[in-house]
Amino acid sequence: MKPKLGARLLLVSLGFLAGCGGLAATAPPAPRAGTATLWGTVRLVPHQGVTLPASAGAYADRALRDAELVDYSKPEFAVVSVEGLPSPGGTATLVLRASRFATRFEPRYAAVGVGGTVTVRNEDAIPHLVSSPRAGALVSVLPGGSAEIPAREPGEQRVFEVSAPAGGGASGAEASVYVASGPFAVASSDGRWVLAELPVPVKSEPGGAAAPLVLHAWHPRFPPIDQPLSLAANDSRRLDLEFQVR
Amino acid sequence: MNRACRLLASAAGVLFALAAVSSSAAESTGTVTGKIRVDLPGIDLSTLGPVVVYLDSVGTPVSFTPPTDEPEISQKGAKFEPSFLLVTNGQTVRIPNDDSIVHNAFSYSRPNAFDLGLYPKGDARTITVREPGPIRIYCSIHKSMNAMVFATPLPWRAIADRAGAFRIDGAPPGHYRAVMWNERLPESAQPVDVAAGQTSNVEISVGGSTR
Repeated sequence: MKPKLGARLLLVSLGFLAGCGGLAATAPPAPRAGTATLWGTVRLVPHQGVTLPASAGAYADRALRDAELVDYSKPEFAVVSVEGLPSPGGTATLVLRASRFATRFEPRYAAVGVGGTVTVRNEDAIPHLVSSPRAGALVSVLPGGSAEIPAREPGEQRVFEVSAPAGGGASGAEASVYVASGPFAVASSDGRWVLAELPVPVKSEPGGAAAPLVLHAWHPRFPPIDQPLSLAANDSRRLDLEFQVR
Repeated sequence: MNRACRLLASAAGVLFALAAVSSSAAESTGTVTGKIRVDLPGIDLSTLGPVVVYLDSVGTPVSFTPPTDEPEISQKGAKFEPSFLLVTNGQTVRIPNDDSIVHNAFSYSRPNAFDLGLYPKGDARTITVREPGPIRIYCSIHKSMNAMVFATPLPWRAIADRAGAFRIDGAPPGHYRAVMWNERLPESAQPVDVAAGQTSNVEISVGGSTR
């Protein structure tokens, strides 16, 4: 059964809005008294002056038709955090799975606060060697077992599966964990994020300034975004962020 | 003596002088050889990509002139080729566009972040490395384009062979750290002393544990 005209118009309008990149972020509930909430969107913006082809198949050069284009329509993964506020720590769990052809971490990207832990759980039937160079970790994880890798420093902490592959070739899976120095939010796949009920820093002395805060946004492939931030009690503010190579 | 003989004599003189200089350089520098030892069974170094071993100064900084050659990473077939390049801090890397389409090269690896902008076939741009360490390079158009430049602090370095053996020639005498770097393994280092005309041997261990 075909949808009615009104429903079709609604669908077309939604499609148009999505096509325009007009992501409608909905305001979250008002912050609890004395705290602040930040929310908004992240999006990827192509290099100024570039016209992206619809697909690599559009290239006249046949050698380029298998090239994979950067998908600017959605961020895939991004983390927004506030530097200067206490880290929530926490745990990021990566599950190591294997098929006949390859090993992989699920999820491929994750986030945790400084002082937290990256837990790697082996759900394969054989032991796997896992490394995280930034943490100085190299461990063998038994089937059904797990390894806990400390997340000490802010920034990207990569995790690799480094067992020699049975059939030769290059070693396998990798994942990236973003280690945030303060409260953080992982954006949804379409780019919405909410940092709810942030503690508002107290000024060290009357008339003095509170510690400076920075809003930091991280994406695995794009330059990070840093912008100074001030927070006031009961503040609820929308901030739309753009990742762009410039 | 005819002209041909004089030319032959001059050439022999030049060769003799070059050999003397080379021999003198070899006598005033030292060699470091060694092996990467992996303590955890199940790792095959040859499957992990380039395993770099480099010398880093301990205490007194070692002066050197960065190599003046400009190694290249070509943009070809919507890939960076080679996808890994080993350079010395201060060295310049050339990134030509050898494709028929526009490309970009950028990095956000601090403090060596750069953006070379968009440039067409036949154009080439350069970066000069300002700090040692890994520099991940991307194209802002093509997801398939990823490369890594690793800059060593000093020019004395090697890429270990499939068995983890390495040899570094021409290092000035002094105290160093021999550092092992691989993108997928924790860094590891061992102290090593280099003496003029001597070969020092060092074993660098990559450790681990079982959970």
